[in-house]
Amino acid sequence: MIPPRFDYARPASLDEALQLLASREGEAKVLAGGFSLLPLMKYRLAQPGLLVDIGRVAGLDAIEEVDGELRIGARATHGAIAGHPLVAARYPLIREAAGGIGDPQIRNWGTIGGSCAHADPASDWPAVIQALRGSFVCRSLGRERVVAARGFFLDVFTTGIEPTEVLTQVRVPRPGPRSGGAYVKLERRTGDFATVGVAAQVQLGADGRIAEVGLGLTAVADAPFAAGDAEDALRGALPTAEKFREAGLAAARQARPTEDRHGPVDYKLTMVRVMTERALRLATERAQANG
Amino acid sequence: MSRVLGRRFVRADGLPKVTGQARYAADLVLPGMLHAAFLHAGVPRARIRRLDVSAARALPGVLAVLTQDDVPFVRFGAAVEDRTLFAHEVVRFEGEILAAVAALTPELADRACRLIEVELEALPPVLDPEAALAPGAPLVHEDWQDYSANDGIVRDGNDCGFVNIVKGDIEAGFAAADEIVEGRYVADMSHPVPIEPHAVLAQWEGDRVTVWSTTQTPFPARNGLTRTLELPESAVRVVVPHLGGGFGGKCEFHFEAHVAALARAARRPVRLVFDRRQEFTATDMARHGIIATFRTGVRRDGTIVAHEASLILDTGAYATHGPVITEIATMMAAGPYRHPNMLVEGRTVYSNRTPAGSTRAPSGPQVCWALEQHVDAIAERLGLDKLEFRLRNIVAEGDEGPTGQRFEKIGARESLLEAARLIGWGRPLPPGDGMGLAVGWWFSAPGPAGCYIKLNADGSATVVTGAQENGSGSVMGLALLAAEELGLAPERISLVYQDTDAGAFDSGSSGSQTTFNVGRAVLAASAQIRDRLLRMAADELEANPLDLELVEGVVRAKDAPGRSVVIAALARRAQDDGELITGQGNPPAPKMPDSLGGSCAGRVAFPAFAAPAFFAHAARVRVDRETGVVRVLEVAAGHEFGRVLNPIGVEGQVEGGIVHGLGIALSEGTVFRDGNQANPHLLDYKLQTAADVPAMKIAFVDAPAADGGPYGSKGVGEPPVVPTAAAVANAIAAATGVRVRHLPMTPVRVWAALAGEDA
Ligand SMILES: Cc1cc2nc3c(=O)[nH]c(=O)nc-3n(C[C@H](O)[C@H](O)[C@H](O)COP(=O)(O)OP(=O)(O)OC[C@H]3O[C@@H](n4cnc5c(N)ncnc54)[C@H](O)[C@@H]3O)c2cc1C
Repeated sequence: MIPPRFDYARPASLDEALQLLASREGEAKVLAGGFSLLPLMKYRLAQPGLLVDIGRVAGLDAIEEVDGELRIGARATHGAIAGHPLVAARYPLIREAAGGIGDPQIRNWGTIGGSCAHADPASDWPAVIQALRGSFVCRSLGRERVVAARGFFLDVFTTGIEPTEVLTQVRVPRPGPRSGGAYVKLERRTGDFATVGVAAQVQLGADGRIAEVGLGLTAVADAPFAAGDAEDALRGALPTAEKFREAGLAAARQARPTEDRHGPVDYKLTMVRVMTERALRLATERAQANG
Repeated sequence: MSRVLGRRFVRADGLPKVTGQARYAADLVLPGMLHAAFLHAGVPRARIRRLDVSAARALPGVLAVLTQDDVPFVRFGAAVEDRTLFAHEVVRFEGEILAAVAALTPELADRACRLIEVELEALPPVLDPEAALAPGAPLVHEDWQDYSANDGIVRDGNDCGFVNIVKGDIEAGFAAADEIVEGRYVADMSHPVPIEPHAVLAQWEGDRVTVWSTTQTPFPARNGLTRTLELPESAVRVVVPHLGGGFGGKCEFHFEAHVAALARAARRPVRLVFDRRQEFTATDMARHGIIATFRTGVRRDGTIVAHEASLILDTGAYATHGPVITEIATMMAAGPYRHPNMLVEGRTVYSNRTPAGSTRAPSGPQVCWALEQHVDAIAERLGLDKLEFRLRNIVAEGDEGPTGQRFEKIGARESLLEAARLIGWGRPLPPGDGMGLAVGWWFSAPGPAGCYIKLNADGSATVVTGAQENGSGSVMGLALLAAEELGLAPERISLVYQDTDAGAFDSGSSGSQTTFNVGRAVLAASAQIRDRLLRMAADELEANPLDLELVEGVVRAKDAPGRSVVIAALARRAQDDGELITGQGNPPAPKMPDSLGGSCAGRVAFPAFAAPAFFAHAARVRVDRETGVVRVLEVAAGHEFGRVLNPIGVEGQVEGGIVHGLGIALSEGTVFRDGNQANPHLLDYKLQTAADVPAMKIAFVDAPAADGGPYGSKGVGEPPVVPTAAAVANAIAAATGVRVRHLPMTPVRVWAALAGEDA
């Protein structure tokens, strides 16, 4: 429970942070809230030689709408996101997910950037950002790139971020009228990591059919993923209970859960179906109310 | 009459604890202090082939490394002496201590542990308690016959404590039954999980050692230390700074001797602080995993005519209090019901798990959970309302207990009616909701207790007691009793406690015994001081002491309150005159109720339940049938504690007990993989949190006990945790039509039961 020795730096600017990462490429790690990184270090599952604490870097925690998208600074905390008026007004999926992460301490200190960069299969954000077809802004010295969330999460604790990059922003398109989203999370107890989490974003057409849909799944594969087969089954269809069930079954076929303290595989697969149906039902109700 | 008792009183240690001023054992630092670390076996069963500590000893900065070879070969144990300080020849559970290290830093101590060379020959672990009872099963303790044990403990191979209750004629009872209902229930091991982990700091001065420890029982801890290190009691002082909770997990003697031995070898103070993993794997007071089977005969009118129960308690690698807990379990398997004919058998079975012991109301919640589900099943078979069926069988004044005790005035029935009333038993519920009831009983533990009180010159008083405050507030509440007797404000009473050099022997914060026993000692000691003050005041007021009373800091005439003398003035004068005003109380323990005696085996500590408390909980739950998730919406509790002396304290115990009980019901359970704990951490051992707490309603029934604690009170700390899991289980069954027969009732188990699988 004692981490190995490491150096620590708290740069005042992003460029300085990027320089540190570049100068000790491969052994330097960004430190945000530390809720994921520090336990890994204590268990010696991570042994960075240098921690670059981005806590003092200005401008990394803004939440704003620009050019038809919501831009969330990587260092925004779960709590700040859950309580933000823009989010409350237009992004029920984001609000629901942020407000259900851990407990108040975790929400007051843990960051969206840390969660996404960490890519724990049980983290809630990756499924949410994929359901919303969002993207991530990654910066290194002299370079900035915008990467789609779908395809970003590669494996357990593995993303498309380069070791010399800082994730600076999360972007999601602003949803239009007749859209609604929901995040449903099955927990053993309040504030637990998800046994299964499902993020759904539904866009209804003028005819009441599902024009577009996004479905992201938490904790049932090595990397959180978008349930593409289920989305395909739903697109163009009327939002009926039978359709939702069909989508739930399709999502379960794409899931690859493993047995752990949350339950055996057959339970989790059934829960993928159940939670997918519930998320779709709720998101659709919200979309219908958002005429 | 009472001026202080019954008042809502804020305990003296509350503010320092919530403001962070209170210091706990792990906070203490002494000059030159070293840090201790243990090397644990890490495997459940093995023969030790080689244990070489030379490389660890050679590491610079390491000042002591000890194994069993470095301490006296002494076997110890609360009921059976089956244990040594360090592993000797074999390993019996993963947390067994092979070696202990003291070094300049925790990091060095850790490294030294890793330098110890160990060769263990793994043996197949004994994990199935039923198989362990079969003839020829591998023995966890091959030398069990050589161990000494407390008188009356019946042992045989892996069973280190057989207990039974034989009452009436069980066969005749079954013959007279219209229906016979059977059931089998299994509970997993769980843990006490205090927030504060075990910590010990030891410092020698000459031949005397002072040990600051997180023990709940300073005197038993001292006994363990003096016995294992072969020291006189006068050479050992055990002090507990503030204790950060115990829930039974810190009862008895734990690591005080290891740390004292390290400090002696290193000639420096040494401190040990456990981490959470050790707290789960290397302690020895887990809540027993049990297997309970019942067979009950009833008449169509709902009368129970025969009751048979078999209990197996998995006590892990060492007996600790196991045999005594099995004895309690047999009483719990009877429940607070009239049983003309009964046969209950309990077995305490060794396995290669972390030892189980005295976690809060040991055996109570699990056995109550099993029995009360069985009772519901009987009512269902008979087509009777579950409240009505219980009311037809519950014990009342004049009835006979399982081992023959006669109940005096008790509040079993009234508690049940209160719980039912508070929850609104029988009202219509929305679909998915269900209500469940459970009743139970629990003993008070009469025992030795002593206390000194001295009156200070300003009219305040100091109570000196050996009692231990584990967080429940029972020691803090002693101030109320002294204040009531002495006519002082409770804030004027200070307490010296949990220091073996100061207070008289006390069995510690266990068995809900503090108020029950020490409270009586406080009353006796206060009475001596009160008598002296009355005589002094009588002289001054020229009155008969019988006509005077002590109220609000004065002694005054009962019929003329204006005629008074200030207690502080009397105290000051006594001091000036060279008189010490002190009181000493050590009243005899209330007697145990009569019992059947001879027809029962293995009855050691609890031939009957002294001054039993009775209670009932009712729960309303909502079950998500698709996911198996259970939400507890409401819990109502009816409790008879004889008499409630300190309402704020008792309400706190009941509320805490309910929340603790919800954890036992729904989420707390240890999972084993090949004999090792698979979830020895709070990420996967799920405690309930504030967000999970339901609405709670509590009612107290007044029924002072003749042979009780102060003012007829009974033990309070343990009963509230007993019936909650049972009430929740019955509510789940009511909501779903399905019984969950495996504790904890996790979402997966509820879901599997609903899917018709055997969870
Ligand atoms: C008790 C508890 C309960 C929790 N419950 C939940 C839950 O219910 N749902 C859930 O989703 N999560 C949960 N979490 C996880 C929590 O949300 C994450 O620990 C946290 O949000 C991660 O963010 P952080 O700021 O703490 O990241 P850190 O721990 O500081 O960093 C995590 C990783 O991300 C990297 N990193 C951080 N920021 C950046 C960046 N800007 N650019 C590049 N790399 C970066 C770090 O180098 C590190 O590898 C829980 C955690 C705890 C301790």
